[in-house]
Amino acid sequence: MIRIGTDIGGTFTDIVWVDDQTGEIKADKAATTPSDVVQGVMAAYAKTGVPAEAIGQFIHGSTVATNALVTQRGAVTGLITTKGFRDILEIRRIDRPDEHIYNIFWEKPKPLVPRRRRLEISARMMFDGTVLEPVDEAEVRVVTEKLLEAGVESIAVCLLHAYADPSHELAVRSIIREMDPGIYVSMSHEVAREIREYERTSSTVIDAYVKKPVVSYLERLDKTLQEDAGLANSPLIANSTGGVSTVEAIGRAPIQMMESGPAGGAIGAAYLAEKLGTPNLVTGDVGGTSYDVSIVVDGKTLLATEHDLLGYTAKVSSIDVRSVGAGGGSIARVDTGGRLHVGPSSAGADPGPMCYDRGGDAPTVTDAAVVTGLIDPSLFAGGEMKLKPELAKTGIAVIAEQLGLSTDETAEGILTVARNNMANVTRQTLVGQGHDPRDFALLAFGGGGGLFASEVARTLDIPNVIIPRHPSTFSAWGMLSADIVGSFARSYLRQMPQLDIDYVKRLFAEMESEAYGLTDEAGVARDQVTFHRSIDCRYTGQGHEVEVPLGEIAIDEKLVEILPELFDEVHEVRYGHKMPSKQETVTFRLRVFGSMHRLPLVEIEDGAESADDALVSTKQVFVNRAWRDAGIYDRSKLLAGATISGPALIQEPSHVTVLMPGDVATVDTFGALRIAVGNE
Amino acid sequence: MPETRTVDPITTAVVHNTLLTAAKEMRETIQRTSFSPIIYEDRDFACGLLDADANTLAEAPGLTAFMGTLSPGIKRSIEERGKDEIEPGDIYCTSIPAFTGSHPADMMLWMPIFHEGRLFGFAASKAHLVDVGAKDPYPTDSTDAFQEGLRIPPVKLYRGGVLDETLAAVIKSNSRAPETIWGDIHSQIACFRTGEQSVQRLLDKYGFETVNDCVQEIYDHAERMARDAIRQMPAGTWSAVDYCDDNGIDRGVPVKVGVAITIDPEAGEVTFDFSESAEQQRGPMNAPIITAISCARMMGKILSAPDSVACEGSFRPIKVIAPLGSIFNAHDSAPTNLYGWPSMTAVETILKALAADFPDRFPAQSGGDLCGCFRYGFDQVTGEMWVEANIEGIGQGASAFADGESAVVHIEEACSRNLPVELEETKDPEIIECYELVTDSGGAGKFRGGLGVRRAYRLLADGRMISTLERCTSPHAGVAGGLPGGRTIGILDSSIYGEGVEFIKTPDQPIAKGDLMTIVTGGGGGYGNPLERDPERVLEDVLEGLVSVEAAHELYGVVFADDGNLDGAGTDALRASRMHV
Repeated sequence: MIRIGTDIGGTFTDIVWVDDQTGEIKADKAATTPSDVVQGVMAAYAKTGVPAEAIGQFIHGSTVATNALVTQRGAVTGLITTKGFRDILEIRRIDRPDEHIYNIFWEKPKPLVPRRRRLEISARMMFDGTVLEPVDEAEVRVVTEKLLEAGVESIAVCLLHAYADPSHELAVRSIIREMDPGIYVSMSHEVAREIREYERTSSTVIDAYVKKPVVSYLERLDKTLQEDAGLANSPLIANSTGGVSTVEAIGRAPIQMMESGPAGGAIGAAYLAEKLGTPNLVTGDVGGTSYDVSIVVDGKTLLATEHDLLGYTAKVSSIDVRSVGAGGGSIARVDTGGRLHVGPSSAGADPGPMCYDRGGDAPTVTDAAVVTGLIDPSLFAGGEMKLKPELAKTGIAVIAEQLGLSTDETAEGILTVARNNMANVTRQTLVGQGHDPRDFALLAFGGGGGLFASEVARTLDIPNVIIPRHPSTFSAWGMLSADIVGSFARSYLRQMPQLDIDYVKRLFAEMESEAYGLTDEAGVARDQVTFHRSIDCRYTGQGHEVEVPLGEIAIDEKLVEILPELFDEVHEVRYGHKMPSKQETVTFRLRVFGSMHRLPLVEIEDGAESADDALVSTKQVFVNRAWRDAGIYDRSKLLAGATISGPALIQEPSHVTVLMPGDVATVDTFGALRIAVGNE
Repeated sequence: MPETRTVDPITTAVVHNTLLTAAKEMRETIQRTSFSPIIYEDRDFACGLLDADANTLAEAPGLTAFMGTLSPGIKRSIEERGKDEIEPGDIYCTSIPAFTGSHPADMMLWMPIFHEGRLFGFAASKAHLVDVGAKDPYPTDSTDAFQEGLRIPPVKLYRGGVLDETLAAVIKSNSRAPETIWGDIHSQIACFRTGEQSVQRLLDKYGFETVNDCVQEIYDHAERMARDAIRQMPAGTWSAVDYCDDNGIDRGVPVKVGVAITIDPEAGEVTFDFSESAEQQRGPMNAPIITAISCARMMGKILSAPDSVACEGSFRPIKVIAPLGSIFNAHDSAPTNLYGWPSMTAVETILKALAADFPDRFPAQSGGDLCGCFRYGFDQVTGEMWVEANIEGIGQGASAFADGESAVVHIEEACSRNLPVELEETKDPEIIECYELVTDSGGAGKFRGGLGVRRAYRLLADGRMISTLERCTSPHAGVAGGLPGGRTIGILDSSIYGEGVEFIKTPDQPIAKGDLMTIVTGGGGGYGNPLERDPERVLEDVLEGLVSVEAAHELYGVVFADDGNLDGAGTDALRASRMHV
């Protein structure tokens, strides 16, 4: 059987296919077709030449959900909420983002539901589920009728304290359904069953807003794959939590597709961490406009429970990806005070860097890499695109003039500033979570991963860099290693000694049964299903929680005794201290893993330590402020055990790995490049 | 044209970006390790890196009003104590307002960073500690500095890496929450280690001299940017007067805030002169001069270079005048617990002075307050204390180009957050009956001010309250014919005080089970004549419920047909008749 992974990027749609019997992996790419991305997916599939009947699984990652937010082209959405609170969505948490603290004109992103479509009902519940005011059916009907008259296509329902007891939201939904069986409904207790009304409302509204575009996109993709291409099964979709979901499951909670793009890389990183015996990895994914960082600790991808999606808050478990505006298309400029800046503005893919010769008139990081000789103009994007080095040089020369430096020094300087920005976001991500960069290896991928990795690692004292095989299509490859993964949560606020363990058992049982629903739907056998349970806890009075993994601990009376100590321990590791205060539980979480085919990692042929057979030529590159001879190697000819010392360039289609003076790369048994970062 | 330079622009960019990241890492460390919500949720702190002369090198985005205070406070300490005594491993602390620029609850700490035996600079932080032994949890009627909490002059809390146990014991024994504040002080110290690591790596990599040269270039660059911007501005003096409601003791007597801003394009300088402001008050509405400096720096930064990060160079062109003995340069013995409010009102006064002539830099006045109200009490059964203090969003002023944003925290506390209703109801004996935008609270104008909010608390148990509300009686202003936004309103429906009783600042007083406390926050001022507002936008506001049909008619001169659509001809006629009045 052949399994296929596809990942839609801004410029290219990547495709990777693997033969489960032989373990053979191939990769290719086709141009992304922004007006109808399904076409790009089909074009990429056509390049594989794999017949439909040979396909066992088709896994897909896409930014369709995010794009609906970017372009503000979601469904016409309405909100039904508790009386007195329809403006929670707009009041938000009243703070300005960091980068706008001096911006006295700052405006919030426009609410996805305007005020006139945010309607209130008098049903009211307290934090413990006590009903102050029951649901008034007639009132719900009036409110729903108003929304339907206003032409809404999707309704978000978020009532105060619904995390404690969903019965009011369920009652509202059944009335809506009765009045319009076809309308999309998102309920807060299903999207984000957690305390804090703004975050829950915002998440529910995002979910409702993107549901229509996501569902219609997936339906069309599914239909095209089955009817036009003749696939037997529906595709699986990369979700935000580091796994895949069925089309149906994403359709019920499309917010879980928000990080579908970067997810593939993180999934692949966690998988490699296990296979390569490097449990702690920090990833560096270099695209056209941004540098994305995620962390794998002890073989597990780190998740965050709250995310900022283009200024909108989503309180859902999802891979913790941090980004900085530094990529191949990042623009270099000199401000009026004479300071060099690189990014965050980007020339993107169109017009792109000046050397693309598509009308770009701002020098970029890619232009700098061409001028210094690190990117070979004839090999870019697998040779499909011929770059114009003279245009790159013209652009960099303008910056050089402004800085009073030579063109070569300026080009290297632009790369240095870009790498430093990448190093800074990496360090902030690691240190911010209490990690020491020296305990990690840097896994670099994406089109520009190998161009920057060794310098980024050197800046942070990260001792080793890993460049996987097929680095430019790594995210698509990563999807092929995914399990069916789902996350569930229930808020239950209690002082630890007062925990009602029967109630806790019921919460987990509920979540387990929902989880089995997911894995059953995907056809995963029950014996292939595992659960991870955890509890978000805090010291009474604190406003933020710490997730305490339960591991193998049974859910019984003993938990009440064990939990306080367990929480103290986790808190101490993460924050450096524990407190004598009372402790309480806030949210109970269950993650489900339904094991799928595992991706075989094929060993490559052993060879000599010398890499001379792969040496193509020698050319001059400008590194460390001088033109130096660098060996140019063809990665496809490197055998396991081969060793290369910098300065050197290791070429493959769509990617180059730069070894700086002092770096030593060794090819491991799986064909990955392991770079021991030199001290220069 | 680039000037002659001694340092490489590439290295300068790398050094600067790395220092800024280090400051952000320091902030994450504090947020991660602090004990109390006032720090990790309200973000009532600031931290950053300074050079050997205590000039501001890199600050983490944080409490805007705190950010400009670290440098002058440490400078003053160095002036008084000299540099010779500073040793590796020392950590200084102080809570005296004359050094910290705020009230004793704000503890400032700093640690020298040495490289190969030479003093490179300091890591510093200032954070609000929940209790430092003031006469009440948050006095609004203190009459001298000694009622507001423990006063620690700048002294070494750590000497050569060793904690001064005596001082530590004194600090703890003077707090109602000793473990919490000690934990928070430690989180402030933890962030120094984070910051120092990054600085040491830079110094190791590039060497002391090169990094220092880069630092000077970072300052010079920021100064060039700021002065260039000021050189493009018109020369002149702009001034305005505004008022705080009262000083907390003399209830109902307004406190004058007068600021004159002089722009000297030739020198490339801006001077903020607070001389027209009231004399020092006998209630706690006084500020140390460092508060005035910080306020001027913040507004000067917004005026000259709002898009870039701040450092010493950004502040060089900004001058401050505040006579000793006034509310912006109070004597050391003066009560200053509410120091933030004169400063906030100064921000509003500066907006009033400049918004009309600098439309691309400043909007109209905002609601002008944090609208904070403390509620606390003791659980009947357990005897344990509960306490809550909210801050709220206000309407922001409209600009010459856009409507003001609704429900955003005052720019002085730009990163602070409100308290979620669900958490509050879970923690405290209260039901929140509403939390919503207030129709018609945005000042009318060609561009409308942002709206304030209303939050109403029903008490489920007896308790006590302290109010720090401001901008309840003082007049607000719009710009260029725009109307003022709504004012702050506090109302009690109470079995003790009666129905519909308005309150402003109140010292500690009881409230009873069943009482309803409603806080309405102020709106932003309008910009331009409301009769010039696009009728379509007025219609949109009416459909959104932001402006009432009545206000649309009365203030904006917009007439609607019976079907709710715009009556174009009617509107034109009504507006024409109003314009000619």
